[in-house]
Amino acid sequence: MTTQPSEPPAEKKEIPNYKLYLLAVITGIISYFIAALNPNLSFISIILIWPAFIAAAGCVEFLCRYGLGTGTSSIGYWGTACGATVVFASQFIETTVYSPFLEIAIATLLGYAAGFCANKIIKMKIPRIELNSAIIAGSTGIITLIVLEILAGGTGIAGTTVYYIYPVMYIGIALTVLHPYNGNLGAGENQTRTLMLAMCEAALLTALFGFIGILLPNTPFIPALGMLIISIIGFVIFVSIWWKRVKEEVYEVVWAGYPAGVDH
Amino acid sequence: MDPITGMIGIIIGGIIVGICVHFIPASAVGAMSASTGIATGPSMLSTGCGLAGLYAAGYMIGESLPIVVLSGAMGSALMIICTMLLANTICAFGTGVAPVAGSYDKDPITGWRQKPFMSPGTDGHSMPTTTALSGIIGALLGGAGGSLVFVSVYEMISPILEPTTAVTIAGMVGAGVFLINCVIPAYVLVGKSEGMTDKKMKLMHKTFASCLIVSVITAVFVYASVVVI
Repeated sequence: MTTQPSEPPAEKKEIPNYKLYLLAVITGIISYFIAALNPNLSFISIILIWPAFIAAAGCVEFLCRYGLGTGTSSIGYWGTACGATVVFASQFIETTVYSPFLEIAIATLLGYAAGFCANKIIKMKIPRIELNSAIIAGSTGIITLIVLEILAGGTGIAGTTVYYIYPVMYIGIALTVLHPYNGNLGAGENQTRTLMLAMCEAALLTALFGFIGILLPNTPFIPALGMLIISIIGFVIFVSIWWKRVKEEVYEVVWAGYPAGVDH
Repeated sequence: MDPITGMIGIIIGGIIVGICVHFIPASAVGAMSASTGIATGPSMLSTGCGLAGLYAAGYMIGESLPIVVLSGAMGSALMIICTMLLANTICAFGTGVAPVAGSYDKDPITGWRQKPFMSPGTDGHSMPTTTALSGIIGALLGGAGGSLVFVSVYEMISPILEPTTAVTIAGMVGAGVFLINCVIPAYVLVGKSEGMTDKKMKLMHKTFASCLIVSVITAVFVYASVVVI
């Protein structure tokens, strides 16, 4: 009697990065206006910027499958440079309802141009690098913009002196975007698990910004405290989910030598 | 400095930053003394030099443009000289290999033979004289380019912001332009370069074109946010 071999489980379809980015843009813009209109509700804003971290980390994961010439770190800080530079350079623009749209659009355009140069002029031949570098730049722009807006307490970025923390913001965002890919298993890694690690690191980073906001004399206390508390709660939840995902592909090691209890 | 000149300064500075990476000897396999150059990616090393240059330029802000740019170039060169000196010391006295390059038989400056001192299966190790000189030229260019971006942004925004805020924003924009432009050539170099003697110097036109496009977009945005918006 023969038995039919069971069919291998169907591979889970990956979420396209452009869909993650669309979500990040929508939640990012809502988040910006919440922070600008009522700073005390900034704990909601913080939750709404986490999708931007996922979109950027997803693009790093996608691009690094093709073996970049210089490594994961470079695409992470390159993309962050595009996004954060645009936001830092626009600090002195008077805040209007168009501000977030303009800054996100310019950051995305700069990222697209850098990706276009890499593919068309340098001829790296990496599929969709233009789109993915645009997404990384746009997402990091969203993150920078909203964290600055929350720490400014809705008074506009120019209205406060949060510029002390620009370098920390830059380094923190770049690390959070590039590390989830390296922190997991590299090429061929499960996308959902990588993105869940990105969520963990995003919550950890926003907790750090909240803590810095509490310590800085010029930032409003309540929004910073809200950011810290909600980020810590998020971190605990995401780590527990990520840990379950890690264990899904861990196999039990069975003793293959002498039976237990036998002297040898 | 009027905004148009500042915008041109950002573009020129960005292009110089891109070109500087071609001169910096760096290679990831240099960590195992299997290749000439400092043991890291060219973009990483250039970034280190450039940021050191920006610090040095920051101390001179308020002085005339040549002084600030020169200060940035010197700070950047000092950083890479220290790095190369220590890397050569570790290779010579720790690993036990002589500084030799794989891209030439005799050092163009000293005339010293290279091949007999090269370990089998490697492309050279650490930095011989010409490669070290190339690194210093690259760092001088990188520091000068980064400082030019920094000063240009500072001069554009200083009339509308307090000096401390203007210095910080200019520094961060300078660092950002540096980071964008120094990663693009790393894709041309594919993570490894021996400096000015490397064959990949012939690909510099690709770096030039790419950095020009990216720098123009950044410069136009900074100009627009200062003058138009």
